[in-house]
Amino acid sequence: MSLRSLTRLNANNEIKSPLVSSILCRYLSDSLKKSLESVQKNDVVLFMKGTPNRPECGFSRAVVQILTAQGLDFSKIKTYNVLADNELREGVKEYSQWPTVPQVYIKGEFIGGCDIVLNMHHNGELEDLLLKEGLVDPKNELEQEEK
Amino acid sequence: MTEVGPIYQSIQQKLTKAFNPTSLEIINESHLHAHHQAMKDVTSKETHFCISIVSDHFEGKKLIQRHRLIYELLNEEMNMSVHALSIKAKTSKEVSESN
Repeated sequence: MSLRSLTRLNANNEIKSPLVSSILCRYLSDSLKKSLESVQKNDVVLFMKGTPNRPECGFSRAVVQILTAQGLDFSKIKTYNVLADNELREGVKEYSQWPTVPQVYIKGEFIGGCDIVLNMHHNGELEDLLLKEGLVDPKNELEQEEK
Repeated sequence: MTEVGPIYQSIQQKLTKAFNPTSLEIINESHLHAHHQAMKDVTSKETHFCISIVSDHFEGKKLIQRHRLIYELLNEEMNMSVHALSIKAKTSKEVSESN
């Protein structure tokens, strides 16, 4: 059996041996830490189910809508569809120690999932953060509100 | 309609014991997600829950910390059939301020 198919079985909780599972987890986290480096390299990273144009889950859709409403340009946001990569789907959960997707990262920092992003959108914290990091243009925001 | 299964009961018991909530509402929303791509091979009826909890244990904790506390507490359930939780975690002071 290949390592890849083993890790897939492990990700699906089909391996019941804790020893095999823990060895594979270490393998997963090492290889994924490399691919997850993009979290540190990009201003905004979104791990979601589906794509921004075709979200496959209501929580992912909501996050896309919030980030759009904040005036972020999706061509500049790095997005990953975890449904297309089971290893990534499990790896990102391990990386953030957060059990669900979607997950939003801004400037390398884990912000939260749908509930937290929605809450920050409502109370103004998200806008403040994006302005502080220079990721949205305050003038554009004002113009949009006036229309 | 909220279906009360073993996972629902376990979530309810653990949250009650850990946070001594002044208010706790758990809604099984699994049927709303049953048709999703990610759920296509899943037969469990307990995959998605909406949790509204009010507890003074959350005092002084940021939202992300409150969510982490709940996820840690429900780690076992998250590893079983639960795919997603929608969490509203407030303190009683925050609830009275918003009313």
